Amino acid sequence: MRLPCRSGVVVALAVVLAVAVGMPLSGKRGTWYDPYLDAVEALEAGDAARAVDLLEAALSRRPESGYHRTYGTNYIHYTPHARLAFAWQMLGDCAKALRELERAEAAGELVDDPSLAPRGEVVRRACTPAPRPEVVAVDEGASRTPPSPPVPALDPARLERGVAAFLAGDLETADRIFSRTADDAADSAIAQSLLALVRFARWTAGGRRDDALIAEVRQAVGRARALDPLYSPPPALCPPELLALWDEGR
Amino acid sequence: MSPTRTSTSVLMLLMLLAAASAPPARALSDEEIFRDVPFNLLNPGARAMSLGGAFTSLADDSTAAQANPAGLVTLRRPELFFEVRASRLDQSAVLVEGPVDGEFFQGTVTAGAVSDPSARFSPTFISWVLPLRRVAFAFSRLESLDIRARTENSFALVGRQAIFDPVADGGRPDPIGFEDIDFALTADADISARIVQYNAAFAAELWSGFSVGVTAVFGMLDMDGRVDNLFVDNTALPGEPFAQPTLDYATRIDDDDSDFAWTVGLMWRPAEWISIGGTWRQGLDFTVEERVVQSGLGHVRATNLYGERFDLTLRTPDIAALGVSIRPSEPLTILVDVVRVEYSDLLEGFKAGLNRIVFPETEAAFTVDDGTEIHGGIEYVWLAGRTPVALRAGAWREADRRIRYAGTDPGLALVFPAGEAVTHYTGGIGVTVRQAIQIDLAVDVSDRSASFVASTIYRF
Repeated sequence: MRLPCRSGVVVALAVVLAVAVGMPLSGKRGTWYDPYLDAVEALEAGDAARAVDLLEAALSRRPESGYHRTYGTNYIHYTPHARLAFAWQMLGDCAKALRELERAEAAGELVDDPSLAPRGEVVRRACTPAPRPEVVAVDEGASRTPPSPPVPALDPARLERGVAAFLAGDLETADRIFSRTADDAADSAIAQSLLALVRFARWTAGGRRDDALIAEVRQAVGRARALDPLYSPPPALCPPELLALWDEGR
Repeated sequence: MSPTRTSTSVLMLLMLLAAASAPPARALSDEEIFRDVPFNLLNPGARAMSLGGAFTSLADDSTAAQANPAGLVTLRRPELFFEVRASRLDQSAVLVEGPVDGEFFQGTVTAGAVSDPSARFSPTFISWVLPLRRVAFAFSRLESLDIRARTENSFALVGRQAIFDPVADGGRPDPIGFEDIDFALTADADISARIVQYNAAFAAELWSGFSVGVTAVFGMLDMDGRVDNLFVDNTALPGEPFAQPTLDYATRIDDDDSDFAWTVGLMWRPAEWISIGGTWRQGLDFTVEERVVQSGLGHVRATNLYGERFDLTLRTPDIAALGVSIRPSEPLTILVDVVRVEYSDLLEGFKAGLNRIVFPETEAAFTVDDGTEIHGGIEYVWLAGRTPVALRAGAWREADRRIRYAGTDPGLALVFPAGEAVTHYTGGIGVTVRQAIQIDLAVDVSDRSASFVASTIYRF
């Protein structure tokens, strides 16, 4: 056996590796699909600000939406405007979110990739001002709109501990706290949504292989929806997949 | 007549034959496999094969681990790649025959060679790629050589041969008469050789559109060989010596070896429609032990020349490749590779004189030229609904890699000529299902071989 000690080869490899290790990695690659796919990942991770930057970079290189070829023989649904709408909505800028949603619809993005339609509807509903309630004459004995179900009081200190654990990545503790909260306030859509949120995070962190966990997520979402059909969890806390799950049954 | 006298006569007569403007012939050798080793140097994968092997500048799937490791950073999702290959090298048969009317021999000399490689079917490339942002890792296994072949060389002399007085007046031998001769030499050989490479690759994107990659290669050779050199005197009466095939000398190989090597690659995409790639692939050095069987009329002489056991070196060629691919429109990609193959590496440790015709001339000169190969291909992808379907075609020119005699002996030059460059035509189709499973098929046909490759990629 010959040892790999040819000096020229070793020197060349050393140079290549030194350069590879020493060079700062580029933040943007030369193709349109690299920033776009990075943006999709950023959105899934909840980093809406970065997603906006990357989507705008992708749009500057490829303005037209559609089903486009990337590397190899791979094609992807290129829906930058819809993704931008999601990102702006997560950032709380409803005007930009609605503008991008309109562009997405004009470009046929939501038709091209129907899986985005529920999320688009969430954006529209979240960003469209609710109609003012009709004033009806009070008439003793007449039927009137039933009142919203009473929202049970939640323990703010406990919720604070749960959210802190969740944000710190201690999903086990957060799950324990939110489980107790959901048990104590079984009629609270917020408590159920928090339980769904933490279990979704555990499902994601565990590599998305735990079928029982995602089933529990669906159950918690279903309970929350049943308790308050008009309730939507805060978009800033929820990844798009969970929001889409939320919207599935509407 | 002794085998040694016979071989000397064969050499002499072949020289005469060469002078008599015999038709051009391919090599005649009992160790033919060592003079024309069919390495699998083409980039792996049905997609690359159908593009004429031109993949250095594209390398945008998991075969990049072998084709150009710098291309690994193109991938966005982990991939698992699997390839099976069926290949057939045509049986080659050569016959040289001619009359000789010389001072010492009048008659006919015939020399023939038959090589019959087995058709092969095996998984030749498996790869797994893990892309992580601007870096990527890949692990792969490649069969770069898998040959099983049987060769049989024969030499016959029929006619009248001079009988010499040991030393006549004046110090030179003079013929004192003629005798009828009819004898044959046969070299019967089986060769089985397999090289398996295990590769670990790393790639990094240094700046936008420019990446480098390096692959560490661990190669293993397993070789078995048998060569029996037999002698028959057809003029001998039944029961007399040499009336039946008689072993002159024989060699055996049953050994394995391993080696490390490197591949480095660069990839530059100055714009989305063009990509430039380059690789340098270091060859593997293997040394296996060959031994002279201790039986036969000539084994003592063979042992004295080479020893009872001696090393045989097989070095795979170093390869440098430069390629360009352009994508004038989204569905269309055009690729060209220029590949320099250092076939002269095969001569490292080359042992002359083992061949029955050359024996025992250990100083006989053999050579082979380095080759420049041109590979070109075109790919067109269209959408059948949401399913990409690719149609591909290509061609490549395989350089002559046959080791040839380079000395002044015209007889040996006739017996061991250069080979010929061969043009291969390739084609194939591919389909990508649900953005996750890619299936490709490819064929490669030439005048002397045919290969079929099916490969699949699963993207996680």
